[in-house]
Amino acid sequence: MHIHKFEQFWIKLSFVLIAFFVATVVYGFVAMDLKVIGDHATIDPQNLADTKFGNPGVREVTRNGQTEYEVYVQTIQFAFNPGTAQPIEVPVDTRVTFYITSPDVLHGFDVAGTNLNTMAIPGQVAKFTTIFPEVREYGIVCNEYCGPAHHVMEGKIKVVPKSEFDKSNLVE
Amino acid sequence: MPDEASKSTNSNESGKSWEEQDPDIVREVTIDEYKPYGTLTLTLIYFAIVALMWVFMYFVEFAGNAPSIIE
Repeated sequence: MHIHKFEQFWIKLSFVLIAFFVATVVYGFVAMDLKVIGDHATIDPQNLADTKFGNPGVREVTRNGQTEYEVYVQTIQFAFNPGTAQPIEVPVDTRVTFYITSPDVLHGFDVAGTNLNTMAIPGQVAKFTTIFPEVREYGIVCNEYCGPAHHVMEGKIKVVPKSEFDKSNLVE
Repeated sequence: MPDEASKSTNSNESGKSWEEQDPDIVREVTIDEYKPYGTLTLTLIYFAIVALMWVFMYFVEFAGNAPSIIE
């Protein structure tokens, strides 16, 4: 079959473009150290009361001599617990690890306008660590359809200066 | 190029040039003489747009959208 040389050129160019896309993604994960949510742990969604999710909230932990925070969040129809009734309060410039799971149906946990975004799957624990670089409020939205009031399922993360961080709200 | 073009005359109508066979044909070229530079230009512009938008989407909108997952 005879293919016109211009056509041969742009067919080759298409493969170069695909190679370029793959190369940028590889560069992102190797050189820029981008991360995605991994496979952390499984959990019995019927018995969250016996786990740290039974008393969800912000916990203070010491890891490698540094004070860090762990946030356990249950996503339920149609709220984040904590997050909706009261905002999740964390200090700025500190490592914060989120553990998120769902006792009922599939939800999303998307910190709007950031790369913090995970599914909350019944039976699975989603875990990610981040550092909030500025004092401000972030909105959390559910981005997986979870039922008739899915569109009102939202919450807040309040990032406060370290000096104003109120440790009385921490859970044990 | 009437001489060159007349070589491509259909054999069963030998003697007649292609202009006589179909007066609507102004000039006949072979496939490799056909050079669609306009299409090539549009294709290159399209590829450039796709590549630039990819770079913007990946490095600015995605990777630059801090805070990100660090672990």
